[in-house]
Amino acid sequence: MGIHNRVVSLFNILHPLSVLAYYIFFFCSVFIFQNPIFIITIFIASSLMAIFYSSLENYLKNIPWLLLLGLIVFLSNMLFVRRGSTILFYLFQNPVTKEALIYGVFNMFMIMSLLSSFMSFNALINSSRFLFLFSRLLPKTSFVLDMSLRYMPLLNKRASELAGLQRINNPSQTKGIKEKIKNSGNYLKTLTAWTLEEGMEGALSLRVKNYGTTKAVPYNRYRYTKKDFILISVFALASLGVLIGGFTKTIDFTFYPKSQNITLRGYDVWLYLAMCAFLFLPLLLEVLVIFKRKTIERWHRKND
Amino acid sequence: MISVSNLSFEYDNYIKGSIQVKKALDKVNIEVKKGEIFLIMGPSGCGKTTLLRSLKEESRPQGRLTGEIKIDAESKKVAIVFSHPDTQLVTSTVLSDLALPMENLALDNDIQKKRMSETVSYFGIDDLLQRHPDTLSGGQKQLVALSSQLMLYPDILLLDEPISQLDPIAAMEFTDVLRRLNEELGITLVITEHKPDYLISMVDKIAYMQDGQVIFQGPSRKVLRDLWEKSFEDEKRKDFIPVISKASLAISPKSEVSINPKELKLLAQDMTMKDFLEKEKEESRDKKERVVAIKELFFAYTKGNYALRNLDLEVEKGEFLCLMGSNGSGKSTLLKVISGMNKGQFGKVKASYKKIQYMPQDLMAFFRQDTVEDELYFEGMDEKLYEDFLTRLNLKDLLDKHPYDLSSGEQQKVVLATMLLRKPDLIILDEPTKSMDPFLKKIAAQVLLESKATIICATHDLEFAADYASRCIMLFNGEVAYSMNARDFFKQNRYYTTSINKALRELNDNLITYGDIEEALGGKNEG
Repeated sequence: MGIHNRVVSLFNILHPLSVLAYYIFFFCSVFIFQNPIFIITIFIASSLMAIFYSSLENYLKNIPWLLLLGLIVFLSNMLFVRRGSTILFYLFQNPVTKEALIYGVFNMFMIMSLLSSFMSFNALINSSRFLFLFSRLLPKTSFVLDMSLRYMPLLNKRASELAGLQRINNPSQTKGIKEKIKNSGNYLKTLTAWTLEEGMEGALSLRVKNYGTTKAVPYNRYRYTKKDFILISVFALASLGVLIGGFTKTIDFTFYPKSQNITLRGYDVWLYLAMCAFLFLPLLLEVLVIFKRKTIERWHRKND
Repeated sequence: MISVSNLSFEYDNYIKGSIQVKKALDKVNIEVKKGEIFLIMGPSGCGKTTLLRSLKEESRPQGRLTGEIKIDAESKKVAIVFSHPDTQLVTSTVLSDLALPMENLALDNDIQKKRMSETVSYFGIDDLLQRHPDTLSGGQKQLVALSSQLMLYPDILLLDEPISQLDPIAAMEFTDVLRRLNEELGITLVITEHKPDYLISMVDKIAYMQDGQVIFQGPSRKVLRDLWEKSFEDEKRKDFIPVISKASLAISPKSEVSINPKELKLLAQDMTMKDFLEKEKEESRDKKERVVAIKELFFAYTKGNYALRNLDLEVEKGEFLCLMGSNGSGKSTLLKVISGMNKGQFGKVKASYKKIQYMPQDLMAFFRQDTVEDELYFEGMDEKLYEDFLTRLNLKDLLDKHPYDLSSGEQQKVVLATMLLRKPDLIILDEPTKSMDPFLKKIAAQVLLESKATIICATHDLEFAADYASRCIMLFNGEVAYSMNARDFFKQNRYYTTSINKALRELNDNLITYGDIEEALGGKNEG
């Protein structure tokens, strides 16, 4: 599994703005829908996205931590919040209410949805796509960010190279704690001087490439197609709908003092179905693409 | 195309609180015609880089420039590529780096796409586009740095020691690209280089510089001859002649100077060198003390991906061992394992020494002090040796400088002196001759041999290994493919051998180095 093994992944070949539009809708939903059933559905969607785009292996590796964090949120809410009117039982003379329990579930799944969504987000928006998205808003800052991102692994590599070399060439200097601290300071000094020195050369090479002489025109890395236009419009409208619903309290859920009934009735059912349609749209499209490809393959096999 | 007249350049050098005026260029005149390949050569620190950088407005060094520079092209039609591949790529994908010069000049999106696609296709670097620059090899980085600037359709291309940091294979590939640019597109090239062996066959004109002055200038064969004939006042100038040309001048001073092995082969085909007998090297059969013993070693950086596999190696005391082989054959890895910096996963490594010194490939990691003097000096050192190094390696002028302010060749000198002053009995060198000019290489080899230490050296420099190594090892795919004494190694290789051996092996396969030719001709002054 994982995006790199996939022949065709629709969302990975779309314009980064389309992907961003989906996540904007996703984050709006996470923060505005409060009914635990909605939130659990959102969590399921984000989990499936994470498995599909970043691999099952990655998901299973991260899920214990997500669960741990979710449980801490859930338990602390249940144990320490005494609001709510329906008392279920007493724990060490503290009332545990049904409302706090429901709110705890909501909180737990909200946190877990948010965190698990970053798994697929990272896979779909890698650093160059991320920079592309933000270079429109903040061209200079994102360029500097890009340059500094390079230095993280580089500094790490150099630090170990430096330490290894000095250990070999000057073994006497690495005895005793005081000496070691002094040495580390020295390494840091060398590392900084080294990097700054290179920065000078980097600056020269930027000047030679006329950096900053005119307002730069970013290279057009991604094609904007009709698909993108449709998807961006769809998600933009959906996000807008959710936001309006949230602000006008049309989409609302009361936890305290007495929790609303969590079962869906009438208008809620339609709202739920609409949310699901948008939320699962990427996966639905991916499945369609795969299905289409399989059918074509089968057709070829039959006719060969 | 380019005309420089009476160009002088001075800059202030701030040393220990006082300012000294240094002269880098002294009344330089050069003339480059359209479509020429113009080579500026000379020892490190002779002012070639200053001259080259002065030719583009944006890269001019800080200081006082007098004289006249006339260039028949806009400044943005003059591209410049520097020697260090690492510092020329600044972003996190190759694509962004390639696009950068076009973005900066605000070219239209359509034009950007057009030029990107045609340039990338021309050089066949499509596969690199999405890669992170740090994952590229040195040669690939240089190619990316070059292509990014070619997208501005330059008329003049300035190259500051473009191949000095590359291994021979990458250097040859890059040189071929330059040749193509010149032959197919007529781009004027101005190149600086202190070791012009790879470039010489395509160069039209040469300027030889020394101490900020142009000593010889003209068509390449003429300048080579001048270097040979008019260097009585300064014997070391001869070292800057590419080995092939030097050999042809020694063999037949009256004929045209050869600039590639084929020409030398044809020139020498009628000669007989029967007076040159095989050198019988006295090989002592008695067992010497073993300094390094490695048995069945496996080493992997990442799981299951072995850089060294089943490697056996023994090194005897006093050997000068050269490790050869292509990039990624495990040379540097082996050096790190021997020194103890890396530990193998399987197998035994035993190294017995009193003191070890290690010269890394990237010298920046070596320096710890703020001046060269502090770097060299330590209490209880051998003062006589110190003085000796100062004069022989010509370090006096560098003492007050910060190590990072030195040129790569100067850095290598300082590192070498620092190491040898500590009197090691095992010296490990990773590409020690990369930025050394030919004269310095000679001195460096001398001081290394005088130290009497065991030397293990990874190098791509075939001439260096042929001249000084006692044994050569071919590493291939993480194994020792074969190990021989240095003469036999080059004698038996057909491709991986010195350029002299390539040219003259049919005549006499004992001719391997320039020294052999001198000997065969019966002494130095034979003409």
